[in-house]
Amino acid sequence: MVLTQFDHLWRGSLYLELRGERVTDVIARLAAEGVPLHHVRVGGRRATLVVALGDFWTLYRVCRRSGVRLRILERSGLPFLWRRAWRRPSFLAGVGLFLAILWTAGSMVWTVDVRGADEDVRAQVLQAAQDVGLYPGAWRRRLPGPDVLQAAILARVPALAWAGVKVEGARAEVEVVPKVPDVKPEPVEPRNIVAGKPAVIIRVLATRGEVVVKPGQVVSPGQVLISGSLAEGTKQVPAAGHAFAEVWYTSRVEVKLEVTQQELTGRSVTKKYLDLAGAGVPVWGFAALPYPASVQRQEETDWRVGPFRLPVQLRTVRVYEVNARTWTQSVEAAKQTALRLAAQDVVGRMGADGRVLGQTVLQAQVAHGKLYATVMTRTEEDIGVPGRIPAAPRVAARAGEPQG
Amino acid sequence: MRAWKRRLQRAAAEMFALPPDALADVCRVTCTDGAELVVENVTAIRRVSDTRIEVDCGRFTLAVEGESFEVTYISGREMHVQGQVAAICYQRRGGAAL
Repeated sequence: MVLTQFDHLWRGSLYLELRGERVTDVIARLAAEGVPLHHVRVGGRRATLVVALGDFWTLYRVCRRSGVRLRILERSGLPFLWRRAWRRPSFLAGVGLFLAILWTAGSMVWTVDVRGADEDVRAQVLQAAQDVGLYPGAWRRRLPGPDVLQAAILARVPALAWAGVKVEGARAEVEVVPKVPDVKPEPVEPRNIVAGKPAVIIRVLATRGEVVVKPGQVVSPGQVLISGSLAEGTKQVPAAGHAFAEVWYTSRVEVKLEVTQQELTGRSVTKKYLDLAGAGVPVWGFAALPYPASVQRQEETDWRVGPFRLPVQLRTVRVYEVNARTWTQSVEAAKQTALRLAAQDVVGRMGADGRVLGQTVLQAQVAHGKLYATVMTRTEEDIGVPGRIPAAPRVAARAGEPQG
Repeated sequence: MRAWKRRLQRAAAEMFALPPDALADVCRVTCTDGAELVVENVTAIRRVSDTRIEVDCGRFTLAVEGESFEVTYISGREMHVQGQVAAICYQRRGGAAL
C-alpha cells in the first residue's frame, strides 16, 4: 500500500469525478481490467476516485463506452509538480542555486583545528597547513593526501615530533606532538659560583669545582663559594653546584584591624543584552537593580559562522546581592596576618627552590587603626650565581721584586 | 471437473491441517471492528454505493450494508472498504440469503 502511494507520488495521480447513470458499471469494469482505484466514493449518479496517471486513458475509454462524464478535480505527484516548475524558471533557478550552494559548501574545508599544541606552536602549525593548501575555504578535492600534508607540516615546523591530519566532512583536524625541549648544554667557559646574597652557609653541593666555604660561615655578595680554579690556578673549569644558605629578610607590613568583608546573600537577578557592534541592547531583565550593593558576573556567547565571529552576540549579566560586614580583629590575629603577608612577600623575592625556615615579629605598633609590624623571615635557598674567575696575579709581583 | 478439483483441494487442506483458504480458491472477508473491510478473491464488482456494496465471489454474492462507505483500494481481486458496516450477507446463486 505504501509502495502504491509512493508510486502515485512518483508517477502522478488524478482525483476524478465521474457523473452518469452507469458509474457503478465503470468502477466494476475498471476493477475487472485490473486498474487500481483508490478512495472510491459513490453517491447516486456521482462518484469520486483516485487513479494513477498511467491508467487515465483506460478509465477515459471505459467512461466513453459507458456514457459517463469525467472531470479532473485535482492533479498531484511529481509529473505535475515538474510541469508547474517548468512554468516558473526563477523557482527552478532557486532550486538549482540551492543545490549548487549546498554542494559548494560541502566541498570546502570550513574549520582547521589543531590539537596537542600551545598557542605559539598552534600558530606555526596553522601557517604551515595554509602553506600546503589546508585552510578554511580550501577545496577538499584539491587537498593533498594526509601523508603529504603530515610530511609538509613536519618539515615546516621543526618544533614538532609528530603530526597527523584527519579531514572529516568540512572539518580538518591536525593533531601534533611537540618535541621535548633540549637539555641546556653545560657551560664551557671557566667560572666560579659566588654568593648572590648575604647569608650563612648551610651546605654546599658541588658537581664541578672546589668548595671554598664551610657550613656556618657568613658570606657576602660576590664571595666565591665554589671555585673553578683548580691546582693553584693551573687549571680552570666551569664550576657548578648548589650552595644552600640561610638568608634573612626584613618586611614591613601594615594590617588593618577593622576588616570589611562582602558576603553574597544568595539573591540574584539575570539580565540579557544583545551586543550589536559594541552597543548592548537589553532583551531580558528591564527592572532597576533592587540591591544596594552588588557584584556582577558576565558571560558572552561565541556565535560563529565558520571562522568568522558574528557581530551579534548574547551577553548574560548575573547580578548578585552582597552584604558588607565590618568587624575588628584582635592584635594577635593581625600579627598572624602580618606573618602570612610577610611570607608571601619573601616567597616572591627568594628562588624557586627556597623554603621558609621561620619568622619573627621584630616590632609591632598599633596606630590609626592599623598594626604596623616589622617581620624577619629566615629562609633556606640556593644563593649561588655564576661569577667570573679573577685574573691571576702577575708573576713578577709573586717573585718579590722590590717596590717603588 | 471444477467441483472435483475443489473437493480435492478441500481434502488436501484437511489432510495437512491447513486453513481452507490456503489451497482452495475461496473468498475471504476480513472485517475489523466494523469499520474496515477487506475482501479477497473477488470475481467482479456488482454494485458500489455509499450504503451498499455487492461483489461477486464466484459461488455466491457478498453484500455489505452500512453507511459512509468508501472503497479505499481496488486492485485485481482485492478490495478495501472503510465505513460503518451494519450487515454482511452471503447470497447463493438462485437461493436465499445465508
